[in-house]
Amino acid sequence: MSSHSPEHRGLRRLGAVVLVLALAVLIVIGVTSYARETRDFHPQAFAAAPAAGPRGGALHAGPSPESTQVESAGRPGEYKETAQALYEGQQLFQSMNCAGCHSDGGGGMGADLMDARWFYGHEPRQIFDTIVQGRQNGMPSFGGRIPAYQVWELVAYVRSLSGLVSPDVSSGRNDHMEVMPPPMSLRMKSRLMVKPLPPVDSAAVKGTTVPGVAIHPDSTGAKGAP
Amino acid sequence: MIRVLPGPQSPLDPAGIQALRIEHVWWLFFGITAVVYVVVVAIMLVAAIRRRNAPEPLRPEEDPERERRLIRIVAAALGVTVVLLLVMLVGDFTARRSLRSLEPGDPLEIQVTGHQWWWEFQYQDPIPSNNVTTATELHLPAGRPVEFVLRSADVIHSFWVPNLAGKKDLFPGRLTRLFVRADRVGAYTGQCAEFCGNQHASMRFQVIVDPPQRFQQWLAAQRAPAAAPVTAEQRRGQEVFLGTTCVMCHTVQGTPARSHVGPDLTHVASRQWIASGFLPNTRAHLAEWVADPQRIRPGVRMPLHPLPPQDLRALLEYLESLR
Repeated sequence: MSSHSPEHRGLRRLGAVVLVLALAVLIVIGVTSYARETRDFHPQAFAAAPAAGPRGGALHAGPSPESTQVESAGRPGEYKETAQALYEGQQLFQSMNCAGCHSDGGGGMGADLMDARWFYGHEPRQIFDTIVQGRQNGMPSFGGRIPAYQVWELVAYVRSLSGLVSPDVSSGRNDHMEVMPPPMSLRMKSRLMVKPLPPVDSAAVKGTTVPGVAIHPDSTGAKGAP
Repeated sequence: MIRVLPGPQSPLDPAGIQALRIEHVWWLFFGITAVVYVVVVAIMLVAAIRRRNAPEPLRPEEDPERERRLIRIVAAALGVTVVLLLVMLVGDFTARRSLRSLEPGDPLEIQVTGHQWWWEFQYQDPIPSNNVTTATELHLPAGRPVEFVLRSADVIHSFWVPNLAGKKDLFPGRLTRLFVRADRVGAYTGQCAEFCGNQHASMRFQVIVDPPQRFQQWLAAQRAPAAAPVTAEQRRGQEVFLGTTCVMCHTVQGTPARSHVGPDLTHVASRQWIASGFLPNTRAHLAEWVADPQRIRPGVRMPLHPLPPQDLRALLEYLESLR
């Protein structure tokens, strides 16, 4: 009967009010602190300033006259690791036929993008240059043909293939061959292996024709280890 | 029959046998529900007015005669409801059955692919090199049954030409089929009817139903490779097309441009609309669209093209020569 005394009822009412207020505050904090990704419908258009005249029709392997222009123009735009960028990058990877050489990340005629080996560097700007300038041994230069923001989206997706991008922004579905992120152990390993790797200077590997030369000794060592 | 809602995008103005059957069901449902509505509202009004003036009647359990009468009325209303629902159900089933089968005749197979946010049409031919691919503009021969094979390149879309047939969804990784026979020559509008992203509302296409002979002429013209550039300006335009971003996504038959990301532009100048039916195909609109598609349809997959004015002019000259 004591619980029905007026003082207890008052305390209970106070408790309920405090609870409701606390909930309201939590909801307000939750709603206002939720950062929504904003979409830019007018991104910077081109990696290179539009050329003075039309360029030739064929894609070039390795650095081409266009890509030197690209180099001088720098890398406009912004690298973003967002769900939007990764999804768009995935779409572009399929539709621009990157998969034609790199398969769905596993490699084939082109380099394997799911393992920890990066012949020309894993930093976003290095991958950007690989796409825009092309590399020796077959990677064509896409400078002037893909807008810079789309190159950055491709960079984000390519990096996600080997687990360099946080899994919570990677695409939840795949319309093509299933590209699984590497198993957790491999992902950890690839992070460990990639971290100490110094940024590969593309000039340093220019002379090499054997791709294996650019591999960090750690990664080859790790491969052979049980 | 009087058309209450005539127009190029109206299910009540059928231009084909399937739409006609759908229209019949529509009128059956509309007639029955309209009559039921009027009767129910009338009874309610009568009850509301009479109750005010009449003296309080005895309760049913106090008056067996009145109770029997009320039971009969309720049973009769229930019977009528069941019969009406049954009539609607049978009407629906028979119409649906007839829509699921192909009309007799030599069917034309057209593969429809929904993309974010445009429509691709491929006319199938036993000889693969005779296949014709176009976008945004669908030509159909009058009186000949057509089998649409529907697929999606990305998300779920829905193919809907109200004047010809009902809606049919397009799924990624799965084929659906739709049978249509257009009987009345004319131009109709189709529209994506399943929300598919940013530019869903502007994902339209035009259907042109031609007499069979004119359709065959159109198909033959579409089969031809793209017109070769003639003037110096057009040649320069082709170089611009093949040397910049255009070539990464579009096909022009007879040139190295063979990508299937965006619409096939082999005969783009022969179409009445561009930008998935959003802009009429005039030089001014084409220039606007090529230079900055994002301003016209934000979010669309086509990127910006900040070309120098003389390159843009040459490119337009070339695109307009692709008849």
